[in-house]
Amino acid sequence: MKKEDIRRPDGRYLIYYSFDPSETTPLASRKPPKRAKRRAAARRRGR
Amino acid sequence: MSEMRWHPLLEQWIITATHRQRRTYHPPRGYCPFCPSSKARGFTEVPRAEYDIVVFENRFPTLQQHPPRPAVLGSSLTPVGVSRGICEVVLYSPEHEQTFAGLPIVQIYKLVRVWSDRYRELGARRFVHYVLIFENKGAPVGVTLTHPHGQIYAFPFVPSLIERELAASRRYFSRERNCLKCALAARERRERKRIIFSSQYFESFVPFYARWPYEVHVQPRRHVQDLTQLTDGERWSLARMLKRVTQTYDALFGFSLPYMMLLHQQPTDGHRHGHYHFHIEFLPPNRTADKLKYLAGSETGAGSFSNDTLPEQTAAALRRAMRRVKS
Repeated sequence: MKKEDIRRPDGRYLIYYSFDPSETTPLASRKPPKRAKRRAAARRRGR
Repeated sequence: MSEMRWHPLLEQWIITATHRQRRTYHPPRGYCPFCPSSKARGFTEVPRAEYDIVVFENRFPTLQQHPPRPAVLGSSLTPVGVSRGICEVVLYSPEHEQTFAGLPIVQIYKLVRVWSDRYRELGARRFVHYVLIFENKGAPVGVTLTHPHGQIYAFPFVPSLIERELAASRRYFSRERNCLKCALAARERRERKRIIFSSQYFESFVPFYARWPYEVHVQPRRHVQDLTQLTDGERWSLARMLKRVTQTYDALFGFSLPYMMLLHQQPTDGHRHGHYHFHIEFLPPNRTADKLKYLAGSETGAGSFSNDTLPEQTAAALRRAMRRVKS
């Protein structure tokens, strides 16, 4: 989650919130990173 | 002029904010101050057209970060205080016609995270003792700006209704060594009659003691005191639950149902409130499709609510409405 804080001329703040798509994927459906995949494959090969 | 005046009979602060009389009331057709600025509509509160969620300080705040000195002198009988606090507006979407129920689940998830961040950030300020996140939706609850939005009030005191909830929760905990809301939820699970929807992490029900006909409480199964304690899985679960509750409301009478939505979290006053259980209250003013419940003599004048419906029956009606959403 990123926040961009802007100050208006009258002194009031305004904050834009933005999210990276990878942050807004439910954990259960998140793909494991490639590094984790490579390690898992290596474990299966018995390395 | 703005100040806090002590109500000695009710023992609570009353906030005066005369500048709010000038706030936008039913803007001209075609103009919305919460829509993004553009050449066609001119400058509004939001310069950028694309965003996920925007939070900004209310232009007409009840509480101010730098409040003026009170215009009147207080006394030991009727103390006066500066109305120091923060009032924010939270825009859920750049789309004017959107409603909470129409938001994608991922957008509600983002909103839950923003709420959590605002609670943490505002609550960290020493002068903020309570952060109230809420949404007023629909003309019957006084909304004149229909752009989908909620509000946050960062109070310099714990509001009286929350004080009462805390006191009841504290008393029950010291007597039973158990959480009051956990006990009430366990009873709802046993009886099942008032449950609307249950998920792995959250449940929603019309409480046994509902003050409003279609009042619904949403609460986590786990005993937590505020949003910041939720796991990511619980945040997703809450987003799905909130979507389902608001969709069910819209299916109930076939129109977008007005409501007040209030997040009841623990105070940020520096004290421990481990006995308290975070929950969200939905309070729709409709008692039928075309009749409203008004807070009149008994409710406003004496604090005594009467409910013209039975929670068991309104819960059944909400479950039927929920099935219509699913189909």
